[in-house]
This record gives sequence, structure tokens and C-alpha cells, in this order.
Amino acid sequence: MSESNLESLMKDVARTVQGDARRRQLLPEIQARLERLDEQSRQAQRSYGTWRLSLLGAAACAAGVLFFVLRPMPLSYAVDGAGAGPAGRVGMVGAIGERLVASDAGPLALRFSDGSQVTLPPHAQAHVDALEPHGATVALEGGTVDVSVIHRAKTHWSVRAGRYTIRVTGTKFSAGWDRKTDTLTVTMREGSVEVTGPGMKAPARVVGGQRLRANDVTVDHPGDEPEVIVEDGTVAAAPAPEGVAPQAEPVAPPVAVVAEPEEQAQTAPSTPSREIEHKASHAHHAAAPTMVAANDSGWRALYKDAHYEAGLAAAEREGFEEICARGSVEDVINLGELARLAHNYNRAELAYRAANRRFSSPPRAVIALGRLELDQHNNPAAAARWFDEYVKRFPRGEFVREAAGLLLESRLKAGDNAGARDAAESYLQHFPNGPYAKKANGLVRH
Amino acid sequence: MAIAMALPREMRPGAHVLNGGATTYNDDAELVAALHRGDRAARAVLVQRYEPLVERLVAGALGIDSEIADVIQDVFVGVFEGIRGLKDASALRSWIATLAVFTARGRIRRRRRWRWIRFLAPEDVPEVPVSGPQGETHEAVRATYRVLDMLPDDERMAFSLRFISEMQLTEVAAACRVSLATVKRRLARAEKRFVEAAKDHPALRERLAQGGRWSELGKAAESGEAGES
Repeated sequence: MSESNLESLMKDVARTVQGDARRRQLLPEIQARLERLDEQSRQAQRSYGTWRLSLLGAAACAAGVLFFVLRPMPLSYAVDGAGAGPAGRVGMVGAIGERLVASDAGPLALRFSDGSQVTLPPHAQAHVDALEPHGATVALEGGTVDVSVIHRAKTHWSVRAGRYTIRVTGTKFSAGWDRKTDTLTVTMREGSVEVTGPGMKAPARVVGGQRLRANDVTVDHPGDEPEVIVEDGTVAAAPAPEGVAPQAEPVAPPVAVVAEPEEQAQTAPSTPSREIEHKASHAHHAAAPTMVAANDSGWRALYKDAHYEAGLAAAEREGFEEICARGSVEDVINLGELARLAHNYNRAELAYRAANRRFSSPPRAVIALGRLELDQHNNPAAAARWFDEYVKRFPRGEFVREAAGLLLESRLKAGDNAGARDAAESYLQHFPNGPYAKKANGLVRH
Repeated sequence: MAIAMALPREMRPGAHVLNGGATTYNDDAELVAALHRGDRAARAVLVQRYEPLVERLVAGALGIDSEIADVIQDVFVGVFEGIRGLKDASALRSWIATLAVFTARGRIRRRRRWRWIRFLAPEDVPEVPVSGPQGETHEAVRATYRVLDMLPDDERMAFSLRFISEMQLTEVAAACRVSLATVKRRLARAEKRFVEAAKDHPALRERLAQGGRWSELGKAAESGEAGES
């Protein structure tokens, strides 16, 4: 075998490249670099230790402030309509224990801060027993009240009448109380309530379309047993307890039982809870990019291993546009790169444009879009705009020299001679020995 | 372990302080154990011991390149990050070689991917200081890497490890984490491609004409093509 054949050249190559590396004395440089990295790492850890305490303190303060700001506040209510408390505070904020009496002129409405409402028709009497963060207790003294409670996750509403208590979640019903006969009447329109009181071993559940009538033992008839009757079907106009103003029965058809909060959330038309659920659903979608980014799916591995066509096929299966819409900047640009290397320039452009739109024009996307305009769309004017953007926005960018050269070339191709001359001058100023220097010199001299 | 960390350097298990003050370790097992303990002196020893290997592999793969130092640094950063996962100390050398191969291949791939944007003017190519007839060898070295740039990454790595870094076939297979048969296949394809492409470069064509196994390979390919036509 000759000493100067191709195999022996490999030995020359080895000698040359290794000689070059030795000449550059890389070992001390590598050691110095690694020591610097190590030192930076230690400094970061020390700094982290100091800051950790500060951050913990700040976090504790923030948590305290948040707790104070977000602590559950008790409900409040406003009185509205024809009627008054003893002080005649119509339209004012109501207080606990304040006696509320609807006048002859019309009903009195108690509007609670959670959106619930209790309406007292003429002559009805009640007062608010308690106001809590998740509900209130209304004590019915006489007459009938219409109750409309907005359901929330921890709703804790109740209406008290004599020894009876009506526990409410989210519902609409009327409750009447006859003080003379100690008779409670509950007429359900929507939802359900649980009634507890005399004569009931367990809470009596009353659902939409049902009416409950309960008689307590009165002092006049001490030997009587308490009586509880629950009637099914659409409630006919029930005889109002004595002394109670007659009130039109709701004509709404019976509604399906919506006792379970989850079911109610699904069937309720547009309650706040529904809105919360809706927002939660959006929040779930918002978390999707992280999931996409965290999922080391097939296309990434195939891209890494230079299997571009298979990688693109895998990305299409996983949802190319979904990745563009929700992936990280690295993912979206790599996806564009994958598509370009698989010679699918339309998909590449789609990904680069998504990166450009979603991440405020990252440098790799900007220059790639310029190159696609120049090479694939034969649109040098559009390409020049991309390269110009790159040069202006990323003057220290990884590809700034290339972008400056391509800007010059694009403007020349687009017939923008003045622009090309400007680009040439700028190029020579920054890259006097760059690959476009000769062309730039020629342009400037002209 | 805590006791070992608290001991003076020269009293730690496996550590030996030379007259000059430098720490050394008898073998890779001691070195790896020290690295697992987080011994900083062991890091310096590891770099001292394995930098030449990494440099040889990286330089062979990339050629004369201004980024060699960056790649070597990346390799050692990877070594320090992953050393806790290395259970078998006797595999240290081949593990580092694998890291070097994969890091260099990653750099080549990245460069290849963005080559459509990058370009290198002749005046930007670094000058190559070589002994002997500088002009000819210089041109031949550059032509060699231009041809290697045309090879698929895996074939290029196998080729450079075998013929430039002069590794044994089994070492190449281990470093590339593939079977011996796969390496042989890659090398066969790489040699064929290299010889074919070498015909287009005057500096390599002359060498090809000087005979040798690759010359025969080129002739066989030519006769095969002639036969087909």
C-alpha cells in the first residue's frame, strides 16, 4: 500500500486535527471553564440559600395578606320594597335580628350578597337570624315567604319557623308559617330542601313539585301528635294558613329532582357555580401546554434521531396544530424544523408562524420565515422584511451575520437597490470580513 | 460518608496527595467513589485523566473547529451531571467515550439543521498549521471533512471513530451503543460513500489513485456501475 493513499490520509487527518487541538492547549482552558461553572454553581447555591430565607419570609407575609383579603366574609343583605323594619330602613343594608314586615303596599325583598333572595309578601313577617360566609338563617315569624337560594359549593342556608328548620342548598320554594296553629307549609318549585322538626324522626326531603305540611303540637291541644304530610304532584292552590295572605302558587311545571349539588351544577342554567365550573374547565385547558411540553412524545425522539419524515408523521398523529397552539417555544420551533427537514414547507411555515405569533417572534422563527420566503416562495421583498426585523431586534443574535447578508441579498433580488446599498454599508460596518463583504463592497462603490 | 467528607483530603479513602499537592486516585473505582461523594478534587483528576480521550474523539469527529472546546466542556458537564448514575466504575471510560460521541454527534446535527442559514466564506475557514507540505495536506484535510459532512450522522461518527480516532471496532460499537454488526454495516456504507464522494475532490482523488483498499473499493463500484449500464 502506498504511503500517500487515501487510508494513509486518515492518519494525516488524525495528526492534523489532534495536533491542532494540542496546539490550542484545550486542557487548561477546559479546566478553567469547568472551575468557573463550578464557582457559578456554588455562588448560585449560596445566593439561593440567602434568598430562600427572604423568599420564605415574603411568602409568609403574602400568605397572611392573602388570607386577610380572601378570608370568607359573612353575607350581607339589603332590604328593598314596600315595607320596613322598625326604623323604616327600606333600601338600606339590613341587620341581624331586625324585624322585617311587608306592608299592604307590596312585597319586601331581602337581597343577599350571594345572590339569594327572600321575598316577603304583604303582611309576612321575618327577621334574619344569622349571616355566615356561605349562607344565612331567616326566621319566619308569620305569613309566607318566597325563597330563592343560589347554589354554591358550601351553601349553608336555612329557614327557621317555630321548631322547624328548612335546610336549603340551591332551590326555589315558598315557606308559610301560621303562628296560631304552628303549621309550616313548604311548597317546592325547584330543587329540594330538608325539613327537620317535631314529628320527624329523620329529615323530611321535599323536592320540586311537592308540598310539605307540618303541624306542631300547640299549647291549645297538648295531647295531639305532631303531623307531617308530604303531597306529591303539582301542587294545587293550598289553603293558606289562617292569617296569611293568599299567594298565587307557582305554575311552573315540576322540575326534576336536583338535590345533588353535582347534578344541580349540570342542570342549572347559568348559575355562578356553573360559571365557576366553566372557568375551571378553561383552567384545565390552560394547563394543557405544560402537559404537552412535559410529554416526551415520539416526534421529539424521532427529530433528535434525525428521522424527520417519521417524526413529522408522529407529530401529525399527536396533533401538529395542537402542538403549535400549546407547545413550548422550543417545541414549536423544533416542529417547524422537523417539517422543513422532512421537506414539508407548508407545515414548517405553519409552525414558525405559530412560534412567531405566540412567543413574540423568537429569533430562530424570524430568520427561518425569512429564509422560507426567499427560498420557497421566491418573495425576496417579504424575506427582506424578516431579515431586517432580525437584524434590528437581535443585533447580537446567533445568526445576525447571516441575516445581515441575506437582507442585502433579498433587497437586491427585490430590486430595492437603495435598500441593498444601506444593508451593504451596515454589513461592512459590522462584518468587514464576512462572506458578503465582497458583494457589499461592490454595491457601496457603485 | 459524612466522616469521609470531614477528613483531610489525604486521609480520605482512595485519595493520595502527591508531592506537588495534587490529589490522585489509584483506579477508576476510587475516582468514581470520590465523585459519588462529591469530592471536588476528584473532578479535576477526572478531567486531567480523560480530557485527552474526549479531545481525540471530538476533534476526530468535528475536524479543525473553533467549537471543540465548547463540545469538550459539554461532555464533562454531562459527565458530572450523570456520574451518580454510573454504578459500574469499570465502565467509566466507555461511558465517557459514549458521552463524547453523542455530544459531538449532537453538535454536528445541530449544525447540519441550521446549515441552510449559516454559510462559511473561504476567508472564515481557520488556517491549519500542519507539518510537511502544508498546502496539499491542508487541502486534503478540508476536503475530508467536506466529504464527511455529506455522510449521514451515524455513518460519519462510525467512520471518524474508526479511521481518524483509530478506535477498535468493538470500541466504536460500545461508544455508539450499537451492536458490532451494526457498526460494520455503517462502516461499509460510510466507506463506500466516502470513496464515491472523494472522486469529486482533486486532493482526495489523487490519494485514491495511489492504490489501497479504498482504491479497490472505488474501482469495484465503477465496474459495477459499468456492468449495470
